[in-house]
Amino acid sequence: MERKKLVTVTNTDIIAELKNNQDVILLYPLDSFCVGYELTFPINKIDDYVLVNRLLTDEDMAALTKILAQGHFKGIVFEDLGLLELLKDFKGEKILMLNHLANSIRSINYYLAYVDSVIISTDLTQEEVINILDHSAKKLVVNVFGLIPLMYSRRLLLTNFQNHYALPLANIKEAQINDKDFKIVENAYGTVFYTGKYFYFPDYQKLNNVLYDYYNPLFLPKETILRVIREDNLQGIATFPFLLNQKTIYKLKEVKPK
Amino acid sequence: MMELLAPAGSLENAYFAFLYGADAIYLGGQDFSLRANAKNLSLDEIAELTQYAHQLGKKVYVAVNIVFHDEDFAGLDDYLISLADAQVDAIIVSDISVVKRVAELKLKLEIHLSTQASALNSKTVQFWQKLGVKRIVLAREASRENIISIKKNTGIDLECFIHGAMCTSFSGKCVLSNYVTGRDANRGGCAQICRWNFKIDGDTDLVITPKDLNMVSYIEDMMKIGINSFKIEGRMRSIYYVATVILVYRRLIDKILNHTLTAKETTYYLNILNRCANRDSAPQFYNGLPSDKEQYFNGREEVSNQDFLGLVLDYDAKTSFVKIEERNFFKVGDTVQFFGPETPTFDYKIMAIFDENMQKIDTARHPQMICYLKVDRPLAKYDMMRLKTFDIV
Repeated sequence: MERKKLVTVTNTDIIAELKNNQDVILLYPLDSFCVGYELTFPINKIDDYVLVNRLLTDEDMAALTKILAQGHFKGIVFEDLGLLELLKDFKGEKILMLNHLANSIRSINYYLAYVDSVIISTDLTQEEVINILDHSAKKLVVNVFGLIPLMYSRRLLLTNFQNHYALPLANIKEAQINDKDFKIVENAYGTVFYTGKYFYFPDYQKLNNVLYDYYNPLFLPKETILRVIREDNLQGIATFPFLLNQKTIYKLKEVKPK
Repeated sequence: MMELLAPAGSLENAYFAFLYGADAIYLGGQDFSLRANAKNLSLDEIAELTQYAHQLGKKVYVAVNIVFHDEDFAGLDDYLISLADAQVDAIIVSDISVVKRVAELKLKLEIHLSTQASALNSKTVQFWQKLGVKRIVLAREASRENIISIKKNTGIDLECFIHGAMCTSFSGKCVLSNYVTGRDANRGGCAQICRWNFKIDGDTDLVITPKDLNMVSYIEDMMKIGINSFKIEGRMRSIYYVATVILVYRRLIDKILNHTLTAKETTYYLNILNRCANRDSAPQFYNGLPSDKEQYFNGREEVSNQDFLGLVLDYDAKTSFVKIEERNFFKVGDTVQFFGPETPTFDYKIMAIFDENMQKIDTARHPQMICYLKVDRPLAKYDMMRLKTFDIV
C-alpha cells in the first residue's frame, strides 16, 4: 500500500482536488497560531489536520485551548512542547515538528513516548535519516518536498525594515546572500526565513518505517502542487537536497586548509 | 536567592568573573557546548575551577547544550560522569536526550534548560520540570508578563539574560549558518549569518541584526518579579568585557538592594556598558515587541574596543608604584581610570611611565609589556586601567 502524503495547504485551490483523496492528509495552518504561512484557516474550516507551529505564551495557550475545543480535526502537527499537556485527552493523531531540535534517534525516541510521530528534521544527512528510521520506536514523518524553514524570529523583520526606510509594507520578500536564496514570510507573530529553492528527498520512496511523506509546497500554483504530489513530477522547479549529502561542521579546526 | 551569572569562555575569564563579583559562572567543556570555537575548558580545569568556586561559596554551571546528532553521543556518558564527579553545580542542556541520560545514569547533576529550547510558557516549563529540570533559562523573547505568569504557575527557578548579544531568531530555531556556510549552528558552529547583509529588491541591503540586550533600566523590576538568576552573555568575550560588565551589574544590584542607586548612576552604568561592548543596546522584548529602533539597519563595523589599557599586577604601598601589564597603547599626558572589585573607580593623569628597568618612557606601545606608574591611591592586583571616556558619578 502506498504511503500517505501529509500536505500543508498553501493554496486554497488544492483543497477541492485533494480533499477526498485517500492517500492525502491536508494540513491546515491555524489562524493566529502559525508563522511562515500567508494562508491560514479558522478552526471551523479544518476537518483534517491542524498545524500549530508558533512558540506560545501562557496567554496564547489559553486562547488556543478554547479554539481547539471548538474544532473537529483528525490530527495535529505542532512545535511547542506545551501542547503535549493541552492535548493529553485528544484522541486524534499527534505529530511533533521540532524544527532543528531533535536530530538524533535517542531524542526522537524519547519524544515518541508522548506523541504518535515526529517529523524528522531537515538538518540531517540521508545516512542519518535512514539510521533514525531504522531505529525509531514508531513510524516517522519524512520531509519529501518543500521550502525549508531556516529561521524563525519573533521580530517583525520586514515591517521594521520597511518602517525604517519608509517603504511600502510587504509581508513576503525574496533575499540573497552570495549564491544562496531566501524567501521571507512575516505575519503578526514573527518572521520565517525559508530556503529559496525547494527541498526534495530523491530516494524517499525507498525509505522504511515512514508514517507520512511530508510536503510543504509554499508559493506554488495549484497545477504544480498537484503534479508534484500525484506524479512526483518536478519539472521546472528548482530543487536541492539541502544537507542530505552534506555533513555540517561545527569546530573550525574541522575546516582543512586547501 | 538572587544570582549574577557570568560567562567564562576560558579559565582566566572565570577567575576574573568571580573576582569582579559574579555569584556563578557558566562555561563549556571541549565538547558538547554551543561555543565550539571558544577556548573552553578541559575536565581537569572544570574540576579545579569548581573546587575554587565552592571555596568562595560560588557556583559553576557547564553547558552541554548542543543539539545532538547520533554521532555526537560518543563520550557523553563519561563526560557526564566526570562532571558529576567534579561536583559542578548544574549542567545546561537543550536536548532531551541529555536530560534523560542523566536520569538513566542516576547522576547527581542538577539540570538547567538552555535558552536554546526556547521555553516561553508554563506548560512547556512543566514538561521539563516533570523530567527533573530544576531551572529554566527562558527564551530571550519572554516579556515581563510572560515571566511573571511562568513564575506564578510553576514556581521554578528562572534564569534570564540581562546583557549581551542577541540572536535574531528564537535561539535554536535557526539554521541559516548551516545553509549558507555548512557550519552547524546548533552544534556550536554558528557563523552568525544574522549579522551579514542580505540583498533584497535587487541591490538593497536588508540587515536583521538586533542591538544587544541591556537591562540596566529594568534590573530592579526584574528583581521584584522573582527572577533567580541574571545572566550575562559572552563566552567569547575578553577579561576586560567580563570584568566591566560584571562589576557594573554587581554594583547595580547591590545598590538596588541597599536602596542607594541614583538615576545619575544608572545613566553612568549604561554609558560604561555601551562603551565596553562597542554596540548599542536595548531592553528588547521585556516591555513589548522590538521595533526598528532595537535593530541595526546600516552595516556597522565591529571596531575592536581599545579602552583596556592595562592590568594591575602589583602595587607597592611604600613607593606608590603600580606594576602594569600593558594591553593597549597609552602615553604620558593621557587621562585614564582605574577600577577594580574593591577599588572605587578614580581618574588618573599619567605624568610619567617607567619601563621594567625603571627608565622613563613616553609611551607604552607593546601589548603585555611591563611598565610602572606612580599612583598615590592604593590599587590591588587585577584591578584594571582603562581610557577615561566618562566622568565618574
